[in-house]
Amino acid sequence: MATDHRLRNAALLLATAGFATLASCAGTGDPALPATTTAEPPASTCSFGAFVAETDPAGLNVRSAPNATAKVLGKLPPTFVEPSMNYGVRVEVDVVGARSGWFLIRNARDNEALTDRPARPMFSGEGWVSGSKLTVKSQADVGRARPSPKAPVVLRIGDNETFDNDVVIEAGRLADCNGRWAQVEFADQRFAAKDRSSLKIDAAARAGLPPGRFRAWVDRLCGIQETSCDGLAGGDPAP
Amino acid sequence: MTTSLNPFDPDIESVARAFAERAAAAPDEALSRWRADTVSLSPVQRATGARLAASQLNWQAKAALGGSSSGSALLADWESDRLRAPYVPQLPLLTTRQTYAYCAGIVLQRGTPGAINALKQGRMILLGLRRETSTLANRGRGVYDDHIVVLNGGDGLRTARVFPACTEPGAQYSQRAAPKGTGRVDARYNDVIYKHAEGFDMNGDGIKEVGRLRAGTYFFGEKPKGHLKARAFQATRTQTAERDTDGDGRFNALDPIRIDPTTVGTTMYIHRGGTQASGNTWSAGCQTIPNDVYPRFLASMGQMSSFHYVLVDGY
Repeated sequence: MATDHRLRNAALLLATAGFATLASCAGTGDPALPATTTAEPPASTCSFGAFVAETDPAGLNVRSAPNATAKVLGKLPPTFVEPSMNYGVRVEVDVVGARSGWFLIRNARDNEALTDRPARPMFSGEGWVSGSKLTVKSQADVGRARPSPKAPVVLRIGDNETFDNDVVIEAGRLADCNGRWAQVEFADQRFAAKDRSSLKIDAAARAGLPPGRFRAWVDRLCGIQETSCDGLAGGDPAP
Repeated sequence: MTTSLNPFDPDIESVARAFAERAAAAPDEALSRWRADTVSLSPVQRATGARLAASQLNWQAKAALGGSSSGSALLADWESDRLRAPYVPQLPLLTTRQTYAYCAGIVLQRGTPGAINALKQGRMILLGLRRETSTLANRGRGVYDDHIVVLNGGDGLRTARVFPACTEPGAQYSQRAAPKGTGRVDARYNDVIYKHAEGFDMNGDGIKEVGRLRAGTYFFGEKPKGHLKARAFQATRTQTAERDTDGDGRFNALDPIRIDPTTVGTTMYIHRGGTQASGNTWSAGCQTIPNDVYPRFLASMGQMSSFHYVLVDGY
């Protein structure tokens, strides 16, 4: 076990050195720097906070376009886990757009309140990452068929449970976005059996997806990990 | 004849009970004995006794006491005490009996009937004792200068486990602290270590205001599936917040439309915060307890998964 930790820490150190190298090219860590220009505009625009669900010590590539072959602009470090902690701290990002399962992000940063150590160097400009590496924390208690409070409910987590618990955050991945709404895709297998039994999934949530997967739109997105966000029940701020 | 009180750990509950039992039949005797029993008590102990006694007076006792000027004055004084913010002593310095008596007195005076019944029936409840603190304190990261007390009257235990807590948001979550140009949205927030903007714009000035949970009684249940890999607790009904609309870091009469009964939902949780050494409470309005004492807090609650939480503004 201790050997595993040493190996992982060594890998993280090497990976961090890599981030620093890329970062020096990309102007990492200074949110005041201008955003990197990206080649392709998003198909939909949105505005909320999300978390990077990356466990690969090599980190997550941020690309110049919404595809896996586009130029790598920089990297984001993986979820921070210290052996003495029993939870992972993810890099936080602002999501501003989406196209074909890829998301335009910016302002990536470590959560120093949770890691309790200096922020790791990382790419903080604008670029694209795959939605399969992003998750969100929604304080909604229902998932809907469309990004509208009037759309039919297609997903519930237990009785009046909100989506902002550890299990749901871990299980969800971003599929699309629209304004302050995110479409989240879940896989049955990401839920433990005891948690799966509390899911109430409408057939519409599974329509057109491979077996074992389902999607729902959620709002009330909270972009901070260490606590909850109040005021979301009021919708957008007063003009 | 007066009750023989241990000067170091007086049994204030017994004094209060004795007064309430005699007040209807012999109000003058009860008043005389009350004065004799309480003369040597500290102001906090006397206030505690008054709260405990007042909660036990039936209408006959109140009518009897109201028949004399001294009795009327005492009742008026006790009634006005309900309208004042209570002094919050350093609870960890009090004995278990004094702590339980103080906290029970506050709950009996300010809790809802549901919370009072729970206390009387020996069910575990939580009491939050807030000392007003500016959101700007500690560079906006919050201060653990409040108490959350786990009160357990079951099986004659009468224990009160006291934990440091933060019940007010830090300005690190205020939009006023956000960078703007070379400064901040609001220059009063220049010292704040900004994290993220939360809250709701109550007054339409384009700035979201942070909120704190309004004093009152709330019923909490355990949040299913946890928060940050630990147990956490969420209100079962919509909560009410107060918002700092003028941005001075305080929640008071200078914020005339501060009461927000609609936008919070049930999002002001009870959860763990940063360690005391870290100096960051992680509260954007939640009730947070330092990570280093949180396991003891959870242990003191045992398997209890729902409870009344009485939050009081003190000083």
